[in-house]
Amino acid sequence: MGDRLRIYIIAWMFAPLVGGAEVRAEKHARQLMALGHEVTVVTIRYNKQWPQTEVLDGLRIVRIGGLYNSKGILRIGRLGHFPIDILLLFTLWRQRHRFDIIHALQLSPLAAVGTLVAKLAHKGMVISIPSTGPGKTQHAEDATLMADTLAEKLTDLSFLKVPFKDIVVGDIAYLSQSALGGRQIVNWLKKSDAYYQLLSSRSFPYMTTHGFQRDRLFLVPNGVDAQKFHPAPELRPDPAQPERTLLCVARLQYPKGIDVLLHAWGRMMHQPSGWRAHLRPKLLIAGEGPLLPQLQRIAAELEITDSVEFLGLQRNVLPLLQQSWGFVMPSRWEGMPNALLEAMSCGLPCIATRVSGSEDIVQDGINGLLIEPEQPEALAQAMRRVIEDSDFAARLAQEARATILRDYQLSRVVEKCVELYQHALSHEAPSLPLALEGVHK
Amino acid sequence: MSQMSNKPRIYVTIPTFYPYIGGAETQTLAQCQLLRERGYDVRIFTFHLEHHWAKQEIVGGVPVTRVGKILLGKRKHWPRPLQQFAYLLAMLLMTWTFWQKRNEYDILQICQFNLLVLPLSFVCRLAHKPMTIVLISAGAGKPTKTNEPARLLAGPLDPALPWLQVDSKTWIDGDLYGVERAGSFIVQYLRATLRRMGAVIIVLSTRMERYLSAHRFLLPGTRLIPNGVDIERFHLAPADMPVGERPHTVVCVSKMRWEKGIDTLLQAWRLVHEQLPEARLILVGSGPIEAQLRQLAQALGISEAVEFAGLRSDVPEQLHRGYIATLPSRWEGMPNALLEAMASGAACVATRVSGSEDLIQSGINGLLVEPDDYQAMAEALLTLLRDPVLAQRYGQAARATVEQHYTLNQVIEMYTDIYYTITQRNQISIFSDEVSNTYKQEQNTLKMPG
Repeated sequence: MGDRLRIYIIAWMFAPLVGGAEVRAEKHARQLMALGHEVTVVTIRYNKQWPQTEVLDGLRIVRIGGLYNSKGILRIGRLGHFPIDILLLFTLWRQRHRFDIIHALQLSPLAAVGTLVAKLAHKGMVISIPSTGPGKTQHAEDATLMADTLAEKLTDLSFLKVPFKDIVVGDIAYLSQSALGGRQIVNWLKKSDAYYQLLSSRSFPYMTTHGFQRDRLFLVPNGVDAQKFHPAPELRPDPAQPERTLLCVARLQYPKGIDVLLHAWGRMMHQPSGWRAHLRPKLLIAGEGPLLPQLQRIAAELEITDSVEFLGLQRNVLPLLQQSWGFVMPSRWEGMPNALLEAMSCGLPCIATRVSGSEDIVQDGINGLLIEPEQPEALAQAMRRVIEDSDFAARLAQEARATILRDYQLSRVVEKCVELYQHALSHEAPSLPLALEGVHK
Repeated sequence: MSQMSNKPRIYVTIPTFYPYIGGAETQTLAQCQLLRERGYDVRIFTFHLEHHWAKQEIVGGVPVTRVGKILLGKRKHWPRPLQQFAYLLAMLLMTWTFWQKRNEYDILQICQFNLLVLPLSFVCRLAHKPMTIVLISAGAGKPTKTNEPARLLAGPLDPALPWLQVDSKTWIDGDLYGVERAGSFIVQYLRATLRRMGAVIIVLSTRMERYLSAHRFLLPGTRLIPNGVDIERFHLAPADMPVGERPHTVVCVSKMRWEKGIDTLLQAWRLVHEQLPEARLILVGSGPIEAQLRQLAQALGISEAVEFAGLRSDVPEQLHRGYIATLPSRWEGMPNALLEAMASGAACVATRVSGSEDLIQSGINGLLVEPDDYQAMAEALLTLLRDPVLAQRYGQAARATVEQHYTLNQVIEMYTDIYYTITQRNQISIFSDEVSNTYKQEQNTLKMPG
């Protein structure tokens, strides 16, 4: 078969839909093609109007239908996946001579179908696990924005309550809840020959807890386009100038911890102002979301509105990144934070929290600063350090870019994925070190 | 010099000690016992926290001296500020004790990095004694400002039920809390002093190392030495032991306190019980919230599947009753209970907290879940209950992990190694080169193999 692989990628969502998952799927496919492999994307035909097969700039797309309602929209629900599964099974089996590897980008019933075909036709099977959930059970009463120092100042803190609709569920839990027979599918997958691509080292316990075999789990993180996200020395703020702009790019939702960031900023700005006599710290928050009014209220109560700016949704963050002094990501939990990868790729000194993904990328004090989530005081100290100590910030920035170039370039990550494909094809027991590769303590 | 030609004499100070029992107390006692067996002169100094305790006592072969009876013995009846003042005076008294006895020891070891380190560092500097500090807690890792009351996990029950409220919450602050409350001047001064003295700080887990680093106390002399376990006492179950109920029995050895997270385990057990009604849970230990936990088990309808075994002295045998053990803690320092379960060859389900996360490599020698996440815990327990072969494999791997890195003997080796290094270093700085060279040779011949 040579080095050239024929790969079928199963993506639950793909163009013409637009979103994070779709963009990542397409980038992955195109990078594989650039490496000389033959790629076909198998996805869902949500709308009867969409063509069943299509070639998009050289990328072949096959769409699987099912039962449609009167408006021509595909029926999907707890039961709706069965006709789709059967059609997919049929399609894949008929086309089995056209691929060597099936790669499902989500843990879905489709992945189970792919695994079945791969088993029958002796093909390799890889399933990606993008999300492990928040890692702790959230109760409705838990979702309150942080009060921190405001607890002493205000008596009525009811505005901090968050309508907790934004529950992140791990993939395995999602599959068993959203599809009829999901639990059986998970149990079957545990015993199957499929290999799993995990995006962060924290997913290992998640998967082994659910009974998946350790030697079938491989760490292949997300990648970032290091050519696109590059440092721009001509735009970079001059350390001699007083401007110190920290940027945060995130949806304004509870898991992103923007409230913690505001409290930390408040603590930093309310320290005796001697240290910033010649500096002008500024915090830019790019993103929109349901929490905007509450966050603005917190900023007002903390009296930091003159140094904090909510930018709203930004379509293109690249120029913002290139013009900022530093980057901060205060998340309560994450899957694999692309925003952080992009900031580091632009050569920014970054402050992140010890959450899934970030903890793999950032080595505290070397290529960024890593603090525990929900700790405003520690976050304030870290931000002050980056703002104050421009030599230190420059060192972090340089190492950040080097880390990206070494481990997280899209091309490098896709190469690792190809290694995983070849592994899945060789049908031999994999060696453990590969599974542990990239997991540093 | 004459007293130095022998093994260094070590004085250990620990704020709380037997009859109070906790992880740090148990581990300190076990280490001191083993050091004495090996011929070291080890003594423990602690605070006299209860009036009826003895001033001098031998605990398990180790001499214990209690300091500050008048100041601390009856302080519970005093107003709060007076208590604090009395504690401060007791610290000074402890310092004075060590200054008076400065010719009777070669190394001063302080268990717990609290404010007491400051005056004792003066003593060590003036008396030219090396000092080791053992960090015993990195705190709960939660924001300290949220003073919301502790509550047992409600799960499917009504969270407003009054008996879910816990009033016996012990909020564990990190060791450095006391030092940092004393102000940034003290902190900076102490940091500089310890650095200059070359004090050795011992951390028990990687999370404690991060904690030190976050508080900028990660000095060059920091060493990671975990807790150790007596692998003779905690041994594998005999091969001829009948299988019986063991594949579907889970054992949990823990004090019944809120921070141990047994409510998480009971919530998880409800989910396990739905799937495997024949599975049994054995809870070994007692504590202030035992009655509430029994009530919780009742309310969840799992009381016939859960055995409250109470406080037991035959912990190794209890651990052999099941293939699986679990430690559902909300936070820990370096959990002895987990080490003991692993040494007994149990497949362990632990939470990602300080210590446990270092011991368990999920999917290799046990399973790791996030604290408070009872659904994940149920999933992990079900995985092991349904697959006894896997459980046994993890159990064997756990025993191997303990044998390789966490036996009491290995831990003591690491400590004695440090003791020799620092006494030698101090000698060199005091005596001439010639003397120190002969001393070095002497020490080398004395050093035990291995």
